[in-house]
Amino acid sequence: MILHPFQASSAGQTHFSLAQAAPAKYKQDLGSTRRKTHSKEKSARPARIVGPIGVERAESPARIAANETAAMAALFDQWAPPLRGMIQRLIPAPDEAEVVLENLFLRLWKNGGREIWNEGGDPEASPEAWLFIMARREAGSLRRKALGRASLRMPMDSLPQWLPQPHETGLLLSRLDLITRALAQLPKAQRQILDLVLYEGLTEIEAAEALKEPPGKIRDHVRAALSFVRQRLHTLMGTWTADI
Amino acid sequence: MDCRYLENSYELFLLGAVGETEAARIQEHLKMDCPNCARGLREAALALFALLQPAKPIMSTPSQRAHFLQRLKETQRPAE
Repeated sequence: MILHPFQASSAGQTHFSLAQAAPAKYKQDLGSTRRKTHSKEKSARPARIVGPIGVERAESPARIAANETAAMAALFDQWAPPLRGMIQRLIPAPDEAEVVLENLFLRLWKNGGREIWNEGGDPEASPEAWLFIMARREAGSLRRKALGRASLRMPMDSLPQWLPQPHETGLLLSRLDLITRALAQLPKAQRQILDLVLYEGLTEIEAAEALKEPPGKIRDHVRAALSFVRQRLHTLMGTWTADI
Repeated sequence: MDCRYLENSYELFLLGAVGETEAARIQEHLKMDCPNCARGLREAALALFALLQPAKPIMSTPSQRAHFLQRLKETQRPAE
């Protein structure tokens, strides 16, 4: 069974162990030659994380484009659990959330992955970043509909150009415990507003109305929170990348 | 054109949650191949990937997996 780095205990506490999670989850590529490395060599320097076991990263686009259902099934096995966890925060009904999840993978399947890899984007773009952003957009739309809110105009022509690469998302997941701790330092008010935007699908103005606060104040909180997140990511991931 | 004022809007743009005016400004910059906006959006995509990670993944049940695989087999791709 392939596990997401974050595993919640039955008590609701989260536990994460890099030592346990990273080797179990990711293949490690120490160079262009896929040699079998000795454990001492592996531990001598951080390995370049290239992708989760079960998904042949370098071949995934080609295999999906080549109509290999096994490649798509592997992608589903790897990313459906965290995606489902995220989607169900917006759409609590499991059946409805599952439809969103399935449709997203099938959309990728129908177009042979072209939305990620073949529309002027990076041929090494990470499918998981696309999956998370698009799942949030879809689930957010349904959330808004359920709340009786107008649908948002959502222009998105060129997402593939801006997708991170698998080594970046892999690095992020391998440091998710640190990143989560850093994000927990967000001031409570900012976190609350960010949750309204991320998981209630609200715009800044709608969040201001919900909290009975001036729009300018909410806008400042959202921007400050996002700036905080990006800075922390830059610090935590940048330091790590420098060692590679 | 200075686009520093857009730098904290990229995540909302990716979520489709910015106003039309702001979205149009970002798109205008991207059409001009603005490197700052392109880099900002890439960082924003990674930030969203981090923010959206659930505390509790929900594993697929055998029936959910089987249902997906069945739909996968039944889904035809449009002709190239």
